[in-house]
Amino acid sequence: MTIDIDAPYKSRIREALSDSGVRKAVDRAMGQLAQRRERALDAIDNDTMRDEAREIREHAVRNLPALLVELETNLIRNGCEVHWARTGDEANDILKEIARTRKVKTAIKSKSMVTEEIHLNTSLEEIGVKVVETDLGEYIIQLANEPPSHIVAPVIHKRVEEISELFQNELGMEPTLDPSIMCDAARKELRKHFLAADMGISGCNFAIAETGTVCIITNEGNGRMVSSLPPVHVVVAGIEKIVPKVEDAILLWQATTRNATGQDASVYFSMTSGPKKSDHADGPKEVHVILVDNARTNVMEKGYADALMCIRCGACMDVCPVYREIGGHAYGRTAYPGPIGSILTPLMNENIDIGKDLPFASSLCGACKDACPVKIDLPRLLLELRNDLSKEKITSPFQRFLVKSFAWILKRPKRYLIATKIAGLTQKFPVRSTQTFSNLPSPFNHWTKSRVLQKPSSKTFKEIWKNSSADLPVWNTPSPEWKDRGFINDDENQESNR
Amino acid sequence: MKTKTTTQFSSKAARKKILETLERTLKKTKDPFKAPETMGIRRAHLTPLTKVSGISPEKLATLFGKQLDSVSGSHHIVQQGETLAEAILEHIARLQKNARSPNRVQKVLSWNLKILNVTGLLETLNENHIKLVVPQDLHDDMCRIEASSISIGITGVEAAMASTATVSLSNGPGMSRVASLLPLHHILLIAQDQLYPNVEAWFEELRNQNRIEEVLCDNSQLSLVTGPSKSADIELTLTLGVHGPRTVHAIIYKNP
Repeated sequence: MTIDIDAPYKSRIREALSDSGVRKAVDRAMGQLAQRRERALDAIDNDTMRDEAREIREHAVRNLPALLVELETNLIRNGCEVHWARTGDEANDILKEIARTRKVKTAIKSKSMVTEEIHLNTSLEEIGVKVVETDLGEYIIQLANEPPSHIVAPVIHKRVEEISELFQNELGMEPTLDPSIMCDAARKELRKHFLAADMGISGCNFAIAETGTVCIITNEGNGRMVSSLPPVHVVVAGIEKIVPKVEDAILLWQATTRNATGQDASVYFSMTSGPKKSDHADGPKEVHVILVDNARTNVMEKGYADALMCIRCGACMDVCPVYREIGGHAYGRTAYPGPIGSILTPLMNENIDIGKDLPFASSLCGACKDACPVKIDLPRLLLELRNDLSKEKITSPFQRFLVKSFAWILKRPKRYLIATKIAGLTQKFPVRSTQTFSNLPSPFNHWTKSRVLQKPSSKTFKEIWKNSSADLPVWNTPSPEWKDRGFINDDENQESNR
Repeated sequence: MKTKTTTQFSSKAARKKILETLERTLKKTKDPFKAPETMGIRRAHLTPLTKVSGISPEKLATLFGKQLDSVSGSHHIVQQGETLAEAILEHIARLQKNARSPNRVQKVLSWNLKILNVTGLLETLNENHIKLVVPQDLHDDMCRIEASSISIGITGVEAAMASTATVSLSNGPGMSRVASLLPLHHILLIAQDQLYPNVEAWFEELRNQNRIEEVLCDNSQLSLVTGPSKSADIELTLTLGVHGPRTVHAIIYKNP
C-alpha cells in the first residue's frame, strides 16, 4: 500500500498513520540505521568531525561565487564542458540538447537527489530517451512507478514480498524471498543497460574547486559504472555542492557515510576530473557538468543559507520521531522528506501551498540538530520558517486571532491568572460528567476532532500549590538560551519572578 | 543548431544571474544565515578521523587485512618461501572451485603486465592455460563484449589505507577501470610500501609532494574502493555484488 503523495497534507498524514505496514517497516529500518550510525560515530571523535565539517561547509557557502568560478575554470582545463542552469527546466533543456545531438537512446542514471528535484526522467522520456535508474532501490521504485521515500534508503517502505512480486512480473524472476537471488536478477538485467547505454547521468556529492573534480558516493558501484562505461557522462550538480580542497571532500565523504549508513567508508568514492585521455582504455569521451541553481539562491536570499550546508546524509530523518511515524511519502511531492525537507521544500517552491504545512510537522525535539554532521540548527530554522510563513498569512484568521490572544494573555501573569480562573469555571458547566471534552462546537472542534481535551481544573495551579504542604523544588530560572533568542524579555522575567 | 545556441546563451545568462545573486546576498549587512557558527573562519589542518597506532609495514598489512575481512572482503599476506604469482594462481583455483558453474577459468581481465610487475606471472598462468586480457578500447564493441564476459579481474593499486581497508585505483595507460569493475571477482595486488595508516595520511603525502593535481586530474578518474559492491536496499539485508565485484581479495606482498 502506498500513500497518495499529491493528497492534502492532513489526509497524507492520516493515511500514513493508519498504514501499520509502512510504519513498522520505516520504524524498524530507521532503528537499525540509527544503531549502525551510533556505532560508527562512537568509533571516532565525532565532536571534532562535526566542528570541522561545519567549518568546511559554512566557509564554502559563504564563498560560493569565488569557489564556483574556480571550479568552472579547473573543470574546463580538465576537458569538461560546464553548463549553468537557473531552473530545473533550464537544466533539463541542456540535458535534452546533449542527448539529442549525441543521438542518445538509453541513459543510465545513478542515484541523485537533484535530478529528483527537477524531474529529469520525465523530461528526457518526452524526447524518447529511455532512462534507467541503476541504484537497486531506485530501480525497484522505478519498476513500481513510485517516488523514493528516503534519501539514502529509497525503498524502506517496501517489504521483501512486494519487491519479489515486482521482479517476478517485470523481470521474469522465479518466486523467491532471498534478497541475494533477487539482487542477481537485477544485476543481470541492469548489466545489459550498463553496457549498451549511450549516456550516463549522475549527481554529485562534492565538487572540489582546486582540482575541478566531481565526487560520487555509492555502495553498489553504479556510480562508477555510470561515470566509466558510456561515451558521455553528464553530472548534474547543485551549486552548493562545492568544497575548496580535496582534503575537505575526504572528510565530508567519511562524515556522510558514517552518518548515512554507519559505514567507515562507502564501497566506492569516484572522483572524476575529466574525460578519458587518448591512451586510456576506458572512461567517457565527454564529461558535462551542469551547475543547477533551482532556487538555491532563493534559499539564501530568504536568509536560510544554513540549509545549503546540508550534505544529504539523511541522519536528521533517521532520528526524527515524526519521520519514523509517518515515513517519507507523507511529506508530499518533494525530493527531500524529514526535517531538512521541511525547510527546503517550502523555501524552494514558488508555490507557497507546496510544503507550507511541513515546518509544522515537527515536535521541535531537537534530535535532528544533535545528529546533523554539519550542525545545522534545524529546530531553529523550522521555528523561523513558521514565523515567516505566518507573516505571509497562510494560516486562517481565526488561528491568528487565537495565537494573538494567547500571546496577550501570557504576557502578564495577572492576565494569565484571570484566564485560568475563567477556564476553571467551565468545570461548573453541567454538560457532561466526564473529565474530558470530546466534541466541542465549531471552531473548537478542529481540536477535539483529532484529540480529547481535558477539562480545566476548577482550581488554578497556584491555588493547589499554596495548599500543598509538599516541599517541592522551585523552578524560576529560564534557560539562558531562551533569553538569547529573544523569547523572553528581561523585564517580564523579573515580573514573573516576583 | 538553433537550439544549441539557445541553451548556450541561456547557460551564459544563468551563470551571470546566479553569481550576481549570490554575491549580492552575501555582501548584504544582514547575514543570510539564521544560526551562523564560524562566520567562514576555518582551521588550517583537518584531523584524521581514524587513528592508527604503530605504523610498521607488517602491522599495517595485518590491519588492512583485518579491516577488509570485516567489510566482506578477504586477504592473503604473501609469506616467505611463496611467490606472488603462486598466491594469485592459488586464489584463482579457489574461485574456480567455488563457482556455481565450474567452467574452467580461461581468461583474466588485467592491467598491463609491466605495471603489475609480478615476476613469473605470465609463465605461471600460461602453464595453467589462463590467458591475461588487457583491454585496449572499451568503446569498441568486440573489446567490450570480451571484457564483460570475463569473471576475474586483477589490478594493482595507487595506495592502500589500512584503517578502513580502502584502496585508491587510478586509471591510465594499461590501467583500465573495468578490470576492477565488471568481473564478479577482483584480485588486488598491494605492495607493502603502498600501505598508509589512513586515507588522510596518503593525501597529506600527496599534498607535501605537490602531486594532488597529478593524481586527480591526469588520471581523469580516481576511485577509492572499500571491499566488494554491496546493497542493503531490500529490507536492509546485506547483499554483495550488486553491480561491481562480489568478492574482493587483496594479496599483500613485500616489495621485490
